[in-house]
Amino acid sequence: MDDKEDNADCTGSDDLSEGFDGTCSPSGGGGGGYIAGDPGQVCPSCGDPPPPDGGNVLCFPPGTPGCPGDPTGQLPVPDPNSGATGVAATGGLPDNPNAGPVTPVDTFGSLVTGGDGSVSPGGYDEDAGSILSQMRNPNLCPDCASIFNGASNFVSLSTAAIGGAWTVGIGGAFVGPVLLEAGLSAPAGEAAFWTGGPEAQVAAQELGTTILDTPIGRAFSLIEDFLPESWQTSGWNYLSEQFASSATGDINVVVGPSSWGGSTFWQVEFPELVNSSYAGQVTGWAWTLVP
Amino acid sequence: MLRRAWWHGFSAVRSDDGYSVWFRGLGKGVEYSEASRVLRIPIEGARTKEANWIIYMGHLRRWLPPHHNEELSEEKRTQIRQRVVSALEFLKIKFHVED
Repeated sequence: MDDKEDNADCTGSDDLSEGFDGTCSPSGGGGGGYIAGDPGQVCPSCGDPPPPDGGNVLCFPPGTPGCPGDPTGQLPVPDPNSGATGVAATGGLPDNPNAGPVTPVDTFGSLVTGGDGSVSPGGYDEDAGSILSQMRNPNLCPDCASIFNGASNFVSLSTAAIGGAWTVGIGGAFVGPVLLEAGLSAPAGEAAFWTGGPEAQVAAQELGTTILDTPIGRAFSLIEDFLPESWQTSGWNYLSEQFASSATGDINVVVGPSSWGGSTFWQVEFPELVNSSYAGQVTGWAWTLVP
Repeated sequence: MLRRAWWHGFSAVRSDDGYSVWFRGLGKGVEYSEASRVLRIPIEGARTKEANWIIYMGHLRRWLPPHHNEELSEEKRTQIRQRVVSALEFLKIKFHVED
């Protein structure tokens, strides 16, 4: 299939996007390509770098079967203008050049940036309310509405019955190289991460294997009573990073009502998981929001 | 007055007012003890300049068994919250409170 010929039909369209099969479809209807809001966008050909768009657009490679490393076009590519990257969640929407790294729930980068100088992926600010409350505010996170209302840009959508929480599943199609560290990794497809309170922790433990459920996590939890707090901090930060980087397959992320942008999840684990998504090691994200 | 309670490790304090606070870490959170009553406050790791931990004070709900059926008044909750904050500051632990 000649991608350039097919993709040419998407050029300049504000309401069409390129689907998995390389054809244009209503915006948000596919997992790859571009969607509405990318005026003048030129769909790239298989293997081409994303075109400069002048609008700071986070775009996906075309979803053309046979594309090297991305047969379904779900993996994100770096924003050509800001260099920001994101996972294939609400991709294809313009992001904010002044915002921090793009997150799956904030491709616009519109959730406010923390004023305390701390690094805050996605630009979350505790003063403006919890991440969840910001996500529910269309003024702060216009693209989040698509997550809550059905997320046509998601590959799959499911509802989890965990204490009233619900899950948005983001499917993927990649199985990358797996390198697990013995004792600190979950079986493929079972790693679970949480942030935002004990309810989120409980839900994560029901959904999969959290760091505290791994042998090393359990062992460290037993001995940490007798460690200086600075060792506890360093230890968990290190273990969290290792646990996140060893995650493979689909992962579960549970966000509780009190999720704070400075948490270990957002600061340590999330960037690792994004990198792993890039590498094809993490193939899908299932977000569970605990109200 | 707060004093270190070394027999509980590096991160515990005891007060002359008859309570103690033990920062146990991610697995067990912060433990507040008073007489024979104990309650646990859940925590989460953080990584900012200002905080290494998130303390979920909103989960000051009930004593651990066998006193779990005793009511914890709002006044008592406020007192415990203040005591825990003072103890963590005494221990020089950097934390962020989520209510």
